[in-house]
Amino acid sequence: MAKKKKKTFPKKQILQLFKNQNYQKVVSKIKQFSIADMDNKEVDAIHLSSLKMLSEERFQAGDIQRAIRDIESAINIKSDETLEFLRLKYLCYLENFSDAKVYAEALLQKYKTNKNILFYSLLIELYLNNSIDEKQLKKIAKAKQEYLLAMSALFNDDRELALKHLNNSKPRAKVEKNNIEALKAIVLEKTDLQTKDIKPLYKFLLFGEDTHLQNSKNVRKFKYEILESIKQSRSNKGLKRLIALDGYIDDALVKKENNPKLALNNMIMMLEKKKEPDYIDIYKIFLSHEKEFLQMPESLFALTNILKNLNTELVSIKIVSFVEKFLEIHSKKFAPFAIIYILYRLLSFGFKNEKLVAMTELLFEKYSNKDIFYTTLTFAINYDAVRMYDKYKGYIENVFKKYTHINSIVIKDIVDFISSFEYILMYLNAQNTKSAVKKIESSLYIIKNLSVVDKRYKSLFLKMLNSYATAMSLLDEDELENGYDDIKAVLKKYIDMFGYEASQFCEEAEEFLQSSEKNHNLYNPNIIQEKYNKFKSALKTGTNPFVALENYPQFYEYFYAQEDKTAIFDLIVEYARFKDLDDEAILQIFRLTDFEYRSEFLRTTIQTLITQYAKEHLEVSQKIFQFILKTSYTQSAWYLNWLYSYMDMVDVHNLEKDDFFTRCLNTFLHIQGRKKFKSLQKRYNLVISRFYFEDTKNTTTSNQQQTFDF
Amino acid sequence: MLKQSPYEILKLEGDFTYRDIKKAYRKAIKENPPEQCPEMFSKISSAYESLTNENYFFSNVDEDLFTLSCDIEPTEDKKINNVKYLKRIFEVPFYD
Repeated sequence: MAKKKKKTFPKKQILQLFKNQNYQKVVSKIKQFSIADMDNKEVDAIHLSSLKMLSEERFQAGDIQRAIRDIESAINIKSDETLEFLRLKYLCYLENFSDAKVYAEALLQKYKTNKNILFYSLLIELYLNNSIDEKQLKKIAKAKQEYLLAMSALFNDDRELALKHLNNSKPRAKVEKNNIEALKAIVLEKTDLQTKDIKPLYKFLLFGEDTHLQNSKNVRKFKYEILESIKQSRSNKGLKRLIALDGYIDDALVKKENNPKLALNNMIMMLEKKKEPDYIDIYKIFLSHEKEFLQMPESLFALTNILKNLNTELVSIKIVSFVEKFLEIHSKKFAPFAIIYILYRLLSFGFKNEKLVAMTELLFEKYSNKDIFYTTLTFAINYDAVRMYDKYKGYIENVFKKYTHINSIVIKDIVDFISSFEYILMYLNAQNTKSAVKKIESSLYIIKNLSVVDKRYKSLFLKMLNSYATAMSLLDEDELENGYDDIKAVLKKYIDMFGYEASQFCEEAEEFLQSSEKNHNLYNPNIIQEKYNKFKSALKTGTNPFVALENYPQFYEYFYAQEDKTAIFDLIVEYARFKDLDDEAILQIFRLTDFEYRSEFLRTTIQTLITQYAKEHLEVSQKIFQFILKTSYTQSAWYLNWLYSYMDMVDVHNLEKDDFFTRCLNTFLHIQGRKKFKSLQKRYNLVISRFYFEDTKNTTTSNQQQTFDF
Repeated sequence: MLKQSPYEILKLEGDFTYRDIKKAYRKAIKENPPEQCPEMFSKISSAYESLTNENYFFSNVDEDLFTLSCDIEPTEDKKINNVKYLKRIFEVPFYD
């Protein structure tokens, strides 16, 4: 029966694979196919080189078994001194010393002057517990002679002599010197070696890092044992550092010591030493030591620090129970202001947790005055301010009558919260945004109704008023029921009370002060409709449709007022019904309607609007999106969010992932790769897994480099 | 900022009250007059302020972290005796 002929594989591709150092593939293709336009000699040469390189790669990675297999395949093609030496070396790393001995003897017969083979043959004798032939020893380099003598001394448990020989072993190469230093450190049982540029076994024995460690029988046998010894040593060192207040250790290790003071110190060290402490974790550690910490007044200070930095709804009533028990034991030891402070911190977490608020209120009643309770309650949580005000009018009107430190802290906290409003709008969901707006309105309502405010609050109130104005300028009137009127009333009230000057206010606050009723209801829906109809008719009759929009840019106002926010997009749809929609037309419509999609408000919401709009007008939405992306390039987080929304829209609606999509993808990856916005890291990973691999399959290399970086 | 517990500095233990802080402070500065023990005096004053002075408390409460003295002796370092594995696992410090 005739032998089945192998299929052929192109020469160009095999050379490309070799050039790309994909030796594994070269080897498998040569095995599987016959290579077109290459004679046997050429194929053998590329096969041999690939096997040699592959074997070296495997050895470097610690995969000795495969390294030997590949080097033996190479020897089968063409045997030479280097390849045979490598086989000997790998046999040693595999700890197969009996085979290595036989092989070394054969090689020495063949290559009498090869000093590397001689060195390994002497090493093999050593590992087989035989003595070293001194006559042979003198034939190799001095550094290696000393090393062999050092190992011989070590094998005889003579560390002193081993160190003496290691000190005499002075290889020229820096990395080899590092290895000798590592050996000395192992002999001296030190772990403070500075460099990690050393052989894998030494790194493992010193630091427990097993990267590229050879996968031999003895490594598998002793690995766990070695790791345990390193772990033990580390925990002891960690404990010493903790006692010296120099570091922290795992809380589980502290628990073994059964020492409450040590446990508290460890938590303090976590707060102090960690670069970015995970306050939720530390909070959980605190609760896990509840019983011990209850006995120490110092716990209160640690707790305030944790609560100050905790920004979560995970805080449970457990912590109020802790404070309740703590105050029962220690309240007499503290100044009233210290107790107020911890209760205020607790109340800050009362958001959506009425039980926590109720329990804290009882603690306020028992241990403090109630004024601060009403202030904080109103500011700190999303309460119905009007109901609160009606119920506690007398208290609330007078809470800022006297200056107190705690009230200043409350105001600073609310300023911080309002200042984060832009971030909330940009990154949080609609529900969170709504509650944030409500919180701002609530606090504003209280500020509006304060009767007397101590003059020492003047600068803090100015900061607060400016932050209110900035936050509100990000919203439209629809979203703030009474806020627009309130902010103006409040600004005027405090100008009268504190005598602020116009120059002290931020731009947004000034705009609120200057705006008047004439700014309301600027647009007239009937006139808008008339303009819209004229625009449509012009399109139908083939006349210039843009004339209808000129001198009446209030579509923009109308756009804001509309519930579904489609007015301007609808004009574009109409245009697309009759004419080819190009960037010029979109630009013209946006210009005539004064539509500034990069405005602070719209830049956070525009992508949502267009994505929603896409449900009915997919192609138009895509074009609007593309226009906006092309004309707004910036390396900002909001721009990346737009890019993401566009890619998501294309994917969700199964639109073609064309060059524009690829540019979006590359721009997203390029900017985020450089800027590393924390808020976008999840999306970055998602984009890579969702689009990148798929995209690289379908596009050319040159495409992948395209971005919007104009 | 790491600081020693103000209660430890003022030697306040057990069932003391807020009023006892002042007494403890007076006693401590008597034992450590500023001209003889300036460093200790400063520590005592700072401890007292952090417990009693509202201004001082609010300026420092978010930064100060109080540690306690632990009467615990660290055990001797457990050295890593990994020399024996050099006999078992093959490695060479040279690269040729």
